[in-house]
Amino acid sequence: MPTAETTRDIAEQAAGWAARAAYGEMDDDDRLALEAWLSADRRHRGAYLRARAALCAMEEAVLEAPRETGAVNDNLSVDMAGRRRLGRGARALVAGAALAACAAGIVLIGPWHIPSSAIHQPDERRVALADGSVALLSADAQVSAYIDSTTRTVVLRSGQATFEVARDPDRPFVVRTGDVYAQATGTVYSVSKLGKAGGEVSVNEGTVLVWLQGERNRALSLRAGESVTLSPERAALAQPLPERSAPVASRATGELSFDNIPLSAAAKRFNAVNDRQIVVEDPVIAATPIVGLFSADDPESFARAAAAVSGARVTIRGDTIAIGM
Amino acid sequence: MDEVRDSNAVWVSREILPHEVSVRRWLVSRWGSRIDADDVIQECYCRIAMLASAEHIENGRAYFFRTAHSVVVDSARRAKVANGAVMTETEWWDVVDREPLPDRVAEDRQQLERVAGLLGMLSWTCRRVIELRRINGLSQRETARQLGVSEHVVENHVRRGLKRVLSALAEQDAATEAEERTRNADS
Repeated sequence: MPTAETTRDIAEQAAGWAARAAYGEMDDDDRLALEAWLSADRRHRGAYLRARAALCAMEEAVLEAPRETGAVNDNLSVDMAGRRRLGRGARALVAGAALAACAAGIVLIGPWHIPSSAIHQPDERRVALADGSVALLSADAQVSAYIDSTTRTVVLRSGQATFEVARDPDRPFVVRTGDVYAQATGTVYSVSKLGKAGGEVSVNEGTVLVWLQGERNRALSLRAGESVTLSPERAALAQPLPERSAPVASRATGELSFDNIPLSAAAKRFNAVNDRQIVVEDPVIAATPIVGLFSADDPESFARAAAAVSGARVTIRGDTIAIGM
Repeated sequence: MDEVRDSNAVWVSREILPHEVSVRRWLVSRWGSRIDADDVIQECYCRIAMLASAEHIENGRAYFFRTAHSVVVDSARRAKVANGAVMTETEWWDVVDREPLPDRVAEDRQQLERVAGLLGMLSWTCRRVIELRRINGLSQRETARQLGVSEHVVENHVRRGLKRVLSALAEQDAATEAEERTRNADS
């Protein structure tokens, strides 16, 4: 059928142009040639749109897929080794938080009002990346990490995430959300996805380079306390903004907050980020409600505090912290 | 590149392209050989391409069906073969509303499978190019250097992948149509 052949020919030509426009070098002659081709037949514009849409679908499929190409299959995983190589600054922050949590290291039972500003998001997750960096994810955050010997890239598809970046000047740590990129070598910063392609970046420590897709040569350099909102639609408006009212530094300092959840559930959250595992041996004790703010990397202090309020005892067996009668 | 047009391409990839199969199937089952489904679909993309922006369209699927319908109606009017073959607006809404829910579920599953199949059609280099350009934000030149190939080769891999995806989309549609015809013939 001649029409079908023509349709296919047009589709092939459109594929060529779409690939070149997005992945090739277009000089002025090429741009003119593309315009001429688009104007030659009204069907060309439709075919070109379809080809570009299919290219977008390909890109989305590649970006959504776990990285399978080559020796870089290093998806986001909870680091059970537990020992993180944090940059000096990040380590200091964590130590500070541990001290603060010890000073206020009390477990409270029963309904207890905590101002919502003082607690974390209920489902915030703390995830150790293979390079020693740590990501603190909001409940709705969806991320993938691609870490190999030369690059460290995290894709944030939705939500918000704060990163304590392990210092490694040879492997820049890049967070991409939509068309927004934020790069650091060792620091603490947050990235939120905004709309389809935009993002907000806030820097708690150190310096972060932020740019839009394809505009790395026009990157903004943000310092501690600065934040910026970028989106392709509003690229021209992008300006570093002054300090936001609520500093987000505490979000990256490794605390776990519990608002009246069973001890068993709290223990599970500690176990997810530490290789010293808490085991609750008694079902009654496991149901003890827990309220409070704890240092995420000190499961033992948490276990002792929890045991104290539930009248239990803590026994240490190797890497196991047992709470029982 | 024009940013508004680019965001339209993203929108089309999410809201229009995935429904091409069902629109085509609907066209064939409704009008059979009285129309050329390829031409109608082609014309739909032309009309969508002429939109300044797609932001105002809430439901891409419904929009695609509606556009296909008006393309058929327009061409029928032009050809003056409107004797009973053209649906009224009421008939049209019936079609959309009557589409059973399980079909949509099956369609979503097909769509997922298609995305997985999509990946299978791309060469390692093509996938790596997309990763480096879109995840790492590298330029064309940096991407080529990192992969140790010329910039021309980078473009070629993407073009071949895209051609494969486009023709697979058409073949899958053709297969669906054939299936549809068989089913209609059986009943």
